[in-house]
Amino acid sequence: MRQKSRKPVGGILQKWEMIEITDPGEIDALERRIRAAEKSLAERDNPTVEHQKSKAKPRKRSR
Amino acid sequence: MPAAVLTPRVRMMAICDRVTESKSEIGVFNLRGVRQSIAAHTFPYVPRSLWLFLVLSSPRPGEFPGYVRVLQERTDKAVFFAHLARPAFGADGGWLASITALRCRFPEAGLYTVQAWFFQAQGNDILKGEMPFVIEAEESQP
Repeated sequence: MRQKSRKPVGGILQKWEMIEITDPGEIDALERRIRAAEKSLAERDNPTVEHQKSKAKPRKRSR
Repeated sequence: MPAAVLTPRVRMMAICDRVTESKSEIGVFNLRGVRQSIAAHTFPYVPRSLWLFLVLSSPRPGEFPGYVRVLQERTDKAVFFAHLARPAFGADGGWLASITALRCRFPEAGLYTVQAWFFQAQGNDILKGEMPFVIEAEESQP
């Protein structure tokens, strides 16, 4: 009977270090980036929001 | 037209107690204690051995820096930020699997969201994976 090969295989699972961000300045910067990303996504999903925002205001008529 | 894929795709995201590789098959992983929640005695709570398992794929070569954000649902505020190692893909892209210890400090019981974000060279950061995770307050025995 042919034996099933049980060769040890090379590991491919990577073990990463998670480096906590504690610098308040860096955290604020990341929060700003996230807010910008979320805003951009919201505008993409609901284009009328951006359209309404950019709609020209009616001009005042001069006498 | 679909947008070009510029950052890795998160093909799998799990929080678990342990991950080992199969000894007989390459690319096969055994996840133990895959969980959606964990019970804590005291707060703030820092889990001793909680692992974030990620499988990422990319059609492009390169390194893709990213970060993890843990959001507390009640306050809608982040309680944890951490840099991820830069996942690196070879010339043909491909996929990779990783584990990283999730040593987050949870201030109280409740619902949290664990998110995986990637930086982009052009444009906004992009959220590529998220999962809810519940911290339960373990009642003390009388």
